[in-house]
Parts: sequence; structure tokens; C-alpha cells
Amino acid sequence: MVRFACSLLVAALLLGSVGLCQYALTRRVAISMTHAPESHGHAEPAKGVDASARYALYVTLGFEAGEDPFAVRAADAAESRRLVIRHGGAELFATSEALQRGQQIAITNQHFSGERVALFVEAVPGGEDAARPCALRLRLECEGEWCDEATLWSEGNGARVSGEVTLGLAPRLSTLDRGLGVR
Amino acid sequence: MRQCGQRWRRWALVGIAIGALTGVAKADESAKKRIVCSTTQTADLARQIVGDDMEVHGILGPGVNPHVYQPVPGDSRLVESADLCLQNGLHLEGKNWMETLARDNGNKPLVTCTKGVQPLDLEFEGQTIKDPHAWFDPRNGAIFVNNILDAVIDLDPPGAVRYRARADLYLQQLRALDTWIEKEVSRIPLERRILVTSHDAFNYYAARYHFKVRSPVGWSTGSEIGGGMTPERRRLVVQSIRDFKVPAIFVETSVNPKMIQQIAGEAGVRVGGELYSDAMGAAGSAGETYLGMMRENTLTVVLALSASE
Repeated sequence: MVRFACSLLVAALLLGSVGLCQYALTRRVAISMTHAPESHGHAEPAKGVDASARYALYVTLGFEAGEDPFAVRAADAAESRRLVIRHGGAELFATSEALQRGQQIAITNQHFSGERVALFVEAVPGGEDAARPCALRLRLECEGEWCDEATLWSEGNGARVSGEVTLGLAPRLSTLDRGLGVR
Repeated sequence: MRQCGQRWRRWALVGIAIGALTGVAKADESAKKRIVCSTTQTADLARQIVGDDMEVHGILGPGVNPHVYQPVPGDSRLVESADLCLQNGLHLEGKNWMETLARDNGNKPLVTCTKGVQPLDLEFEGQTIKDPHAWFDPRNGAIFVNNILDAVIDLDPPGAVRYRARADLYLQQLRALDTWIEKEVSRIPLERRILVTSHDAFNYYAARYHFKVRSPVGWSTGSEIGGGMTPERRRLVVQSIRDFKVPAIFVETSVNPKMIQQIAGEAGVRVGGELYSDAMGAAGSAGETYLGMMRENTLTVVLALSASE
């Protein structure tokens, strides 16, 4: 009887220690995976985004923005939007004014958080531009330093320039060596 | 005896409850607002916006010609029960029969879907009239949708969010349709984009997608073949077909096809197919919706005119 109890105790001890080892191993792997990017040793660690940093978004239209014939009509004709930029479900910028080809719109004093920002952009090529593919350029700067930029194209002739664009928030110019000896 | 009485009472209560529930359901159904539309196009566009929130009824059936339609007593009863009436306007409804119906049956609110459209001019019996077939340009279809949207929101303001959401989705479909038609039509060389049809229904389509139209009867469809046709017109149409080397001409679903078949024989070309014109197709057919009608017409035209001779 005593022998039986001893063998049970030994078995329980063995099983327990195996379980403990497995638990420790799993945890260590998980921890190392979480910090995997750091372990690769990039030359330039990702620059932290300052929550108080102020951003400026520059939008350059490659077309004349017109009225969208396929838009739900606004209650007031003056509300008919020619360019809309949305962020996080709220309108960052919207205008019903006529916008010329090559015109640049600056949306300044913006606060964004995280590593990237997702912007929904919608504009309608009008006039002669409605008959050709059109593009719109977005450029994001943080207190004078370039962060990211993107170009959005219309799907085809007469189609809207519309879609979600994601831009990186970390300033990048200061981290680039452009042969000036500055890093 | 007492138990039997209790059982009867229980069954009676269950019966009353079922009756009450059925009554509520029926009352709810009949509480739906009712829209009565003159044409199949306006009815389809209205359905896209109101979904199941309202009842939509059309006066004209598939393939029925609105220019020559004579209202029947059933139409008066339908309009009398309406909360809102919709018509195409620009005199598509011959002798303004929808206006008369709405006025004579309780002076019902009537919305003209072509309000805000830039109408094209047509020559008819020496006069210049406004072409009523505006829906053949999808951008005008969008104007129809917005006019209907405003009217249904006026009728049921609490449902505005739902109506606007449906209209927004449908307008995106119209945009896709417009882009798709442009792409398909681009298969036809510009010099071969000649659309010969029974009557002048396709001017908006032609203007949007760069076709020239030739029609033997002009604007009028008449009730018989040749209504509105003159020997001079017929000669011009045949001459146009030969001059432009048009490979095919088209009949319309709502107009007698005999005349076009005769002209095709005279000019030595084939009939390229049937186009939905003043009315859409029957339920179950590809042309039973506005989008389907435009898609099928485009396919018919593109296949017939882009085919090598």
C-alpha cells in the first residue's frame, strides 16, 4: 500500500514538472515573439509619435473638382460637396466651393495618434476632367517634417476619386541620410 | 363540469390572442404608405428607394406604350388609394393622363421625376418639343432617384435615413452602370455608332455615348405601324443606313416591329435585336429592372454594331 502511494506521488511529481516546463517554454516563446522586431536590430529604431505633435495634410488636385451627378442630393444645394476628407468617422475637411486643377489645400493643426492614420478621401472630377482618369495627391507633414505621401487615382473616366489612404505618422526626413552628413 | 368550463375559457383566450395578433399584423400591413407610378421605370426606381417600407404600384405594365395609353377604371381606384403619385413628365404620358388621374381622384400629390433634367429638343410635326425619354442617360436616372427620394422623405420623414442609404447605394450602381456602358460601347468604332430604332426614344442614350440616331417615325409611336412616318423620312432612314454602312437596326419592345423589319429588308441589313424602350420587361425577364434594361440594351447594341460585316 505504501509502495503504491509512493509511486503515485512520484508520477504526480513527474507530470507536474513536465507541465511546468511546458508552461515556461510557451511563455518565453510568446514573449520573444512579441518583441521580435526589436531583436532584428534595425539600424534606425521606429521613431515614437508624439501625441502632442501637430500635423499638416496637403491635398493637391490633378483635376477640376465638380459636382457629382451620382450623389444623393443635399437638402441645400450649397451643401453639395466637391471634396470630402474623413478621419475616424468625422469630417476632417469638406468643401462645396469650386476647386481648380493644381490647387493645393492645406489642412493644418491636426492631431493624430498611433503609427498610421487612415483617411477616406472623395472628390469628383468635373468639367473637361470628368472625361479622363484623374489623380489626387496627399502629403502629410509633422511640424515641417515630411511623414508620408500617397496618390489616389480615379477608377476610370468620369469616376470619382475615392478611397481610403493610410499614411505613416512618424517624421522621416530627419532619419534619412541624403549625402549631407546629417542623420 | 367546472374543468370543462375552464378549458373552454382557455381556448377562447388563445383564440382572442391569435385574432388580435393577426389583426395587428394586417393593420400594420395596410398602414404602409402607397406610391402609384405611371411608368415601369419610375416604379422600379421608387422600389429601390423605399424597399419594403412602402407599397409601390405601377399603372403601366411591361411593354405598354405610355404615349398612347388610355387609363381604365382600375387605374382611378389605384390612384385614389395612393399617398403619392409619380410620373415621368415631359408629356411621355400621352395627353398628360397621369396628371388627370391624380387630379380627378382626390387631387393626389404628384411628383414629376424629370424635374431638373436638361431636356433635349425634338422636331415633331414642325414643332420643337422636349424629349421625354430622359432615363436613357444614367445621369438623368440619378436625377429621377433624387426627385423620388425628396418626395418619399416628405411623405415619411422618420424613414429618411433608410431612404437616403438605399438611394446612395443605388446611385453607386448607376455610376457603375454608366462607366460599364462607356466601356462596352467603346468596342464600336465611332463611325459605326448609328442607332436606327422604331421611334425617337434613344436620343439621351445617343448623346451620352456618342451615337447618331435615325428613326423612321420620329417621336410619335402611333398605335399602328407607320404612325408618324412619312415617305421622305423613310427614304432618309434607308439612305442613312446605306451611307453609314450600318450593319444592323433595332426593334423596340413597346412598338410594333413590322416597319423596322420592312426597312431592314429594303436597306439590306439585319435586325440586330429588340431594345427595351418606353417600358421595361416583364417580371422574370432580364429587362424587368432599370439596370437590367440598360444592360441588355447595351449588350444588344454592342453585339450587333461591333460585329464584323
